Amino acid sequence: MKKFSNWALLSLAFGTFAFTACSKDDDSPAPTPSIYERLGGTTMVADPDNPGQMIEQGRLSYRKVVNTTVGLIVADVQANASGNLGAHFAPILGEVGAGNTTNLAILVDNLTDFFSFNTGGTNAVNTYTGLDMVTAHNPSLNPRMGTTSTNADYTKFVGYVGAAAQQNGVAANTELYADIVAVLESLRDPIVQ
Amino acid sequence: MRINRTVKKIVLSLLGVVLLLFGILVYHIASMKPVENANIQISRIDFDKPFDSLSTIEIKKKLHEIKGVKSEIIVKRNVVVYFHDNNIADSKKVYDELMNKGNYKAERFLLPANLAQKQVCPVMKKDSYKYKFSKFIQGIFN
Repeated sequence: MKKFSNWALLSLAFGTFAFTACSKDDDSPAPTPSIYERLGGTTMVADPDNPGQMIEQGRLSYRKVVNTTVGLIVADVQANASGNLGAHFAPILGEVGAGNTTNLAILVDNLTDFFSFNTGGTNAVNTYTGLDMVTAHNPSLNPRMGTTSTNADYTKFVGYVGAAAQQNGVAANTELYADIVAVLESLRDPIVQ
Repeated sequence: MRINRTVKKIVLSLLGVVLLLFGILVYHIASMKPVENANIQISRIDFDKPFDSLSTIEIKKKLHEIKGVKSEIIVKRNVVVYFHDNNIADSKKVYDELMNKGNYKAERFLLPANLAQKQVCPVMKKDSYKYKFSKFIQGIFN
């Protein structure tokens, strides 16, 4: 009987400590997961573009948004219409037209790395090895950049990314969408030159 | 004989430096992260009339059936933009196959001359040695 009481007392003491500890934690809100985690994080899924290969869901989500963004810009390219960003991507599009696709692949890969790594996807697969944002958007330092970006150009680009995000399942009225736009806005200063 | 020994030292030193640089180059190439979808190409087809929701689904389905076409297909107004593996199907092959799948009036989009003529590398003159050397090195690795 005495042995049972000791165990009961010990359990009670441990339980009290555990619940007190829990109640203290409950006061502080749980940290918001990173954008990368909310886009699927490191969960491995089948890569739809490379049969037999796996890819992190967060990276795949970003790659889809990047591809759709580039696609939407290409869809708007017209011969004599200014302001559709075609001139910014002209060198790469010109190369693709001539059959050299290397730099398009690098652009898509770099953009996917950049956004993945800087929003929480810090695994080695997302390591960004491209130019810094200032150099990358200066046509005299980066020949892949067709022309400098104005504030209006960048606003249009953010619009393209927003449309691409929505086409890939990120609704415009969500916190995730607002957070993605906030990341893009944080890049406005180094990109607009 | 003293000269011979000095020459030998210089040659061995140069050989050592070359070997070291070669080793660094090999390490650099070996440790590089391969580019994902390295043969990806983007192409566009302009149709004579805009797509509605049903015809959008239909054109996407038909394009996905063509070998080499990737998952992202963008349909905007009367324009379809798609990604494809250039090693499996070039844009003409994809266009020809798609046209055989339906009674479409469409044409392959070619970049307007004013954009296509943009210099890819404006900081280098094409007749310069630097440009020729860069082209030579790119030719080896591309």
